[in-house]
Formats: sequence, structure tokens, C-alpha cells
Amino acid sequence: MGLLKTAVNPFATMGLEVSMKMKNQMKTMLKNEILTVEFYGELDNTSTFQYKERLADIIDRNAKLKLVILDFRYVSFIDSSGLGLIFGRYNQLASRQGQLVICSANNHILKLLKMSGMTKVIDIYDDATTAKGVLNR
Amino acid sequence: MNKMDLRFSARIENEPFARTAMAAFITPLNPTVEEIMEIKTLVAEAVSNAIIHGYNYDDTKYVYVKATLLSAHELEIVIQDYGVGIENIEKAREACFTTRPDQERSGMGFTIMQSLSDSLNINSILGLGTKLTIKKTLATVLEEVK
Repeated sequence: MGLLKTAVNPFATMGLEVSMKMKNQMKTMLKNEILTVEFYGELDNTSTFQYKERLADIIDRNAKLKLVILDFRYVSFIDSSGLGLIFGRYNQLASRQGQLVICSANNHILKLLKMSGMTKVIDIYDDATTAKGVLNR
Repeated sequence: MNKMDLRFSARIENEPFARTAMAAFITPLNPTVEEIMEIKTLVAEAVSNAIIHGYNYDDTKYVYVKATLLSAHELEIVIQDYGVGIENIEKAREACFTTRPDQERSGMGFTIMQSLSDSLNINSILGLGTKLTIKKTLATVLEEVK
């Protein structure tokens, strides 16, 4: 027994621990014409549709929005439906004065964003505070 | 040869189940976190395609997921539906092409599957269904310094 590998919880490294405890959800905060959106858990086909409807509605009803920050700090998984959500909101804002940025994306999310070409048009920041600074530039 | 077979209703809430089951199946291969994320994404894209496009959310139908360990580091995943089939495979492979622009889909499914896998084979017959065969080789850990 002594020679066995140190016992590692296989799920700990898989993002499963996070996703099992954490219900998929989205929190939105509006302050000074900045909308911060925090996603929790997994952005997949089971969750993105509701988020899309909710966000599209909030953006529509706040015509003065200058900046939308999508915060991925608590996201453990994303697929093409998540990319669709991001790009949809980008297009929604592009038709007016607002700007959309992304922050706290992990390596996997960054990889998919690059693959989709989104990184060419959407700015990515390390955290929400840095992202807010975009308005002062 | 280690094998795994899954069959489940074409309900979208079964997609997270399929990708999580696949992640658990490959755990003995000692994959990296990155490899697990890539494989989960591959399964997510293929299974949601089957449910959304193949079956148009008809949950009386079934999606089939098979995994075979071809060798210690070679994984083959087959995802199959008996749905409508793909009209134009070349078009489906194109980035940002979607047959459902109304649903705000990114059209990135096949692009993602192609770039995250070592090979992606698409077999589809209109009216009969679609079978995707994905191969993915995991990196071999040569040495672990502790």
C-alpha cells in the first residue's frame, strides 16, 4: 500500500467539484452605466438560453449602458452555445454605443474564444476592476 | 480493450451527463486538466448537435455514445443519432455556419470538434442519421519529478 500513488480525488482537477456544488446561475449588477455579469458553473445548452433572454432584455431596457463586462471567474465549462451567447450580446451592443468586454477567462475559455476569432474584436481583461478601467481610456 | 457504451434520451439535460461520464471513463488514463476539458467539450458539441439538429429535441429518440480505448493513450469516441442527417457536410464544417441563426447559435460546433480532436470523421445520410467518430490521443507522461 505504501507504494501507491498519493490518493488524489480525481474529480478535484476536473472542475466537477465546482460544478456539482455550484448551481448554474447568472448574477447581474448595474452601476454607473456599467453592467457586470457574473456567470457561475457551466455555460452549456442547458443554461445559455435563459441567460440570453435575460441579458438581451436588460441591455434593451438600459439604452444608456456604456459597458458590459462578462465575468467568467466562476465558470468551469463553456461550449459553442456559450460562445453564441457572448457573440449575440456583442452584436446587440455593437449596433449602438455600448462596448462588451470579457474578464477572468481561464485557459480553456480563452482557447475557445481564440478559435472562434472573437479575441480579434472583444477585449479580454484579467479581472473586473481592470475591465472597468476601459472607460477611462 | 476497454469499452463504454451509453444510450440516453435526446434531452438537452443529458448532455452534461454524457460529457461528465466520458470524463470519468478516461480518468484511469491519467489525463491532464486540459485534456479533460478538451474531451468534455468534444462530447458536449457532438451530443448537443445530435439532440438539437439531429432530433430537433424529440426526446422519444436516443443518442448513442461509445468510447473505446484503442491503446493506453488513444481514445476513440463515437456519437451517433438516427435523426435527420446533415444536408451539406462541407457547409456544416465551416466556421460560423448554422442552420439555426434564429437561436443565436455560434456555428462553432464542428470547428471546435475539428481543432480539439486528432481526427473527426463525419458520416451522415439524410433521413437516416449522423455518426461522428472522434479520435484523441492523450500525452504520455514520461517522468514526474516530485
